[in-house]
Amino acid sequence: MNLLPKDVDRYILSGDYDEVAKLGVMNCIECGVCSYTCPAKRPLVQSMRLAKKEIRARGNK
Amino acid sequence: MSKYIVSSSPHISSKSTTQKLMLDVIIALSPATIASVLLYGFYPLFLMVLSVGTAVFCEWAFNLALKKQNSTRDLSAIVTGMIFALCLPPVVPFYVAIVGAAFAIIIVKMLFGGIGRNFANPAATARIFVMLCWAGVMTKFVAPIDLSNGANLFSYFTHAVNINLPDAITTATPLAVIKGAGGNPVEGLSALDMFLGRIGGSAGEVSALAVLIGGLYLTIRRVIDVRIPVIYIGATVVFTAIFYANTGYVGEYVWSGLLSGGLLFGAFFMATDYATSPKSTVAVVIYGVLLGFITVIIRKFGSYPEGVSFAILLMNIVTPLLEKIRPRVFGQPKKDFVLIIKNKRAEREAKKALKSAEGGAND
Repeated sequence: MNLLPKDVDRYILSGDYDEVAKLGVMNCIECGVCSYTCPAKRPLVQSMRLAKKEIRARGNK
Repeated sequence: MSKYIVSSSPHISSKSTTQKLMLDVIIALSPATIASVLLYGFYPLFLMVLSVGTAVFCEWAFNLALKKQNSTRDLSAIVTGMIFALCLPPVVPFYVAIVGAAFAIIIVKMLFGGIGRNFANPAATARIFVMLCWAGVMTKFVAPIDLSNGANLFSYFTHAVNINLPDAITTATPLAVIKGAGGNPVEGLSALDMFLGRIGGSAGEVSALAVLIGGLYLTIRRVIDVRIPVIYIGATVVFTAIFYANTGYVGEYVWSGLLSGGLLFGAFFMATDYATSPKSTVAVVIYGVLLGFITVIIRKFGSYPEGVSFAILLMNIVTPLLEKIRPRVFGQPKKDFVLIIKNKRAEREAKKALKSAEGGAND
């Protein structure tokens, strides 16, 4: 809760992996409610997954 | 054995789409549109047709020119066109509507990345642009059409090209009176007049009743975040009372500032744009209060009689900074913040110790 998929999506799309780490992304359980509610039907779950992968690759900082 | 197709969550999608949200906004804008026709005849409607047509055309042409997918289907260009048209005084020449709508769509919206990426509200920014280009025309307001006087609903069409016709009686808006000589801004106007819209002003702003109906609809349909208009309007009332406390007419200033001018319209339809407003509660409060503050400051100390569009532009630009105020993630212990502060203090002291050690060695 209080994860910010919209911010994660924005940072991931612009490649700003340092800011993403501050958003507590590892708490995401990929439930998909973010993409469900989005009126623009953006692929937010996929962005969150990518963010988690990047954070793991950088050593979970 | 049959093949299973595995896909990612979510496996279903909500019915809400951008198009439906925009349709709700269009419905919410209809009372104000109808009011502008009842008060000023069909010319403001003509301006709106021009504005919407230009907006949709510009978005379509821009997408075509840059070989992008056509995005006009989401109806946001129509909404921008309508909001912009309602910001204009009802007797501006036709080219104002066209140029302003083109500016809103091409420069404020499309050049920055299309819907969701605009740096400020397109309609508010276009209004400022048009005000700077055609200041005289944008500050000429007229009284509503008085059908008993032999005028008819097509009377103001003569203004399409020539603004300086004598048949329009220029009226000072209540805000212009406040800006000018001071004194009672609502001399000769009743609160009912201001509420229904029988005053001078921009086409969509005058009828507080119409704007509030639209705002209520948007709130019920959960399209807008109602905290923003409530906090903005509340802050404006408070600051108006503070800054005009030493005139004899505080009550009248508060009422006229509330019911005339672009405040209600801007608060419900322009300040609530998703791309340019913050979401977390603390950030929303700061956003609303500063909007109110800037509006009143510009109204009182600036040279324009209205501050809403400038306030919205400024706070839209500040919004990315406000978005850095993030809510605490569920499960993140509050202790973390104390730890961070302790660590930072230890770091600072270590650095100081290091510096003084080096300093001592350099003697």
